[in-house]
Amino acid sequence: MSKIPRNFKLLEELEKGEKGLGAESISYGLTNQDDITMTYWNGTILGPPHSTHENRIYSLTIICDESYPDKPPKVKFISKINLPCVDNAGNVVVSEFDTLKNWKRNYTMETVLLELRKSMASPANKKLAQPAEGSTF
Amino acid sequence: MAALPKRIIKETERLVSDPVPGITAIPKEDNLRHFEVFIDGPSSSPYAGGHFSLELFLPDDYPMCAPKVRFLTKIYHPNIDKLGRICLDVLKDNWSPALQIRTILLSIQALLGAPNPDDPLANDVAEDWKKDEKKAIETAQSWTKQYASAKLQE
Amino acid sequence: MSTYEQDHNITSNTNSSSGGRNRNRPHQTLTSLIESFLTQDTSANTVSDDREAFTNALRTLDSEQGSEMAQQLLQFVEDHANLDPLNPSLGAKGSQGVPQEFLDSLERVPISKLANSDTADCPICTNRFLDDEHPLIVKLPCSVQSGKDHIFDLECIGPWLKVHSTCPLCRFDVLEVDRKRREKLEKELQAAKDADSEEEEEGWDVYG
Repeated sequence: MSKIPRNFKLLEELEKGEKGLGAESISYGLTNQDDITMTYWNGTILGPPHSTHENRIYSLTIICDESYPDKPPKVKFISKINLPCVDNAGNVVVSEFDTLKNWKRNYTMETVLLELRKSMASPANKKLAQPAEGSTF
Repeated sequence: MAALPKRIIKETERLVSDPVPGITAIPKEDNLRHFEVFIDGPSSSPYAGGHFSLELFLPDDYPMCAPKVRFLTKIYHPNIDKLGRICLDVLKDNWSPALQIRTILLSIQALLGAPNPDDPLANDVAEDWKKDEKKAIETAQSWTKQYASAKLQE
Repeated sequence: MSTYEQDHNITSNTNSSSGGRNRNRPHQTLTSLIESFLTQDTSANTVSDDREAFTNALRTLDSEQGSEMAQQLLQFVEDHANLDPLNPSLGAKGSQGVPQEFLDSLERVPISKLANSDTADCPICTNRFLDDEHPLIVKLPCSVQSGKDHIFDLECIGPWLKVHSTCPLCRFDVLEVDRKRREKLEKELQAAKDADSEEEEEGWDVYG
C-alpha cells in the first residue's frame, strides 16, 4: 500500500464528513471553510445512551498539523466532561487514550471520535458524575 | 512499499524529459506517487501570467481510478473551490485508464481557459460569474496577480 | 510483460479461487465476500450501514488483537469506499461492470493479425504487446460502432471492465453493443421460429 499524502487523506475525511457518510453518533468538519491547510477541525459526539452522557452533545476541537496522519491529531473537549483520558483543561491525554497512544496511519478523525464515544459508554466510565450540561472548559 | 508500476515510471520519465509547455510535474522524493505540479494560466484567460501550484497523487488503483489533484494556490474560478478541489468530469465519472497524468493536467489547464459556471463547485463564484461576468473576470485577474504571480513563489 | 495485476501486487480472482492452497482459502473467501458486498448493488442505505458495522467490527478486532489481517481489511474497506453506491460523485455513474462471461467471450487478437505489431501498445499499461512473449490481446466490441479496433491486454482491460462497462478509448458502453447484437440475433431467431410455426400451421391445415 502506498502512503496517501496528508492533504489527500484529509480531503477524503472532509468529504466523508460533509456528505454525512459516516456514523450518525458523531460529526466533524473544518472550523474554517477556506482553511486550505485543513489544520483546524470541529467535532461533536452525541452522548451514548444508558450512560450519564445520554442526550448530551459534546463539542471538540481537533488539530491535524503537518505531521498528521503519521502522528495522531491533537484532540480537546470544549464541552466539560469527566472522563479519565481527559485532563482538567479538556485535552485528551495521548498516554491515557489508546487510539492516540497506539496511533495508526489509517485511523481517521472519525476513528478518534467513535473511540472516545465508546470510552464514554464503557462500563468503567458510563456512570461517572458529569459537570453541568452546557458548561465548557 | 510496493514497487512503482512500470506505467507510472514511464509517465514520470516522459513528464520530465518531454514536458508539456506551461506544465511541470515532479514527483516528491519521499513518495513517488505524490507530485508537485505547476500550471501556467493560459494566455487568453483571466489567469494569464499566473503560475499555479497544485499537488497530484496517484492512488494504489491508478490507472483504474483517476489521479487526485488539487490547487494549492488560491484561485477565483467557478469550478475550483476554496480548498483547491477541482470539478472536472475526467477526474470523476469520465475517468478512463487510457488517460494519463499529462492529459489530466492539460484538461485542468484547459479548464482555466474555459470556466464553466453552469457546472459549478464553488457556488458563490459561479453565481458572481453568471451575474456579472466582466466583474468576475476582473476578480480572477486580480487574484491571479495577488496569489499566483510567478515571482511570489521564487 | 508486466501486467496491471503484477504491477499492483494483486492476484487475479479467477486464479486464486481455483487451486489455491487450503490454508489460504478462508482469507480469500473472506476477501471476496467483502468485495462482493462492497460492490453489490443493493439499497444504498443498507450497504452503508453494513460497511459502518463492518468497519467498526474490524477496528475492534484491530485494537484488541492488533491483527494485521484486520488492518489490511480496514485499509481495503477504505480503499473501496469509492464504490459506495451512496456516493455517485465518487463511484462513477454507470459504473456497472461486465460479468466474467463477457470477459471470457471477448474477441482474441493474435499478434500476427495486429496492425503495426512492432509498435502497438496497450493503452492501459502502455507496454508494447510484443514485449510479452505470449500476449493475450483482446478487441472490444465497440469496433462495430466506431469502425476502429480498440485492443488491450486482457489482464489490463479485465479489472477495468469489471467495474465499468465502457471502452477506455471511446467510452462506448460495450454491454450496449453486446445487447444490440443479442437483440438482433433474438429477432432473427424469432423470425426463423415464426416462419417455422407458420409452416407447421399450414401443415395442420392440410391434415385438420
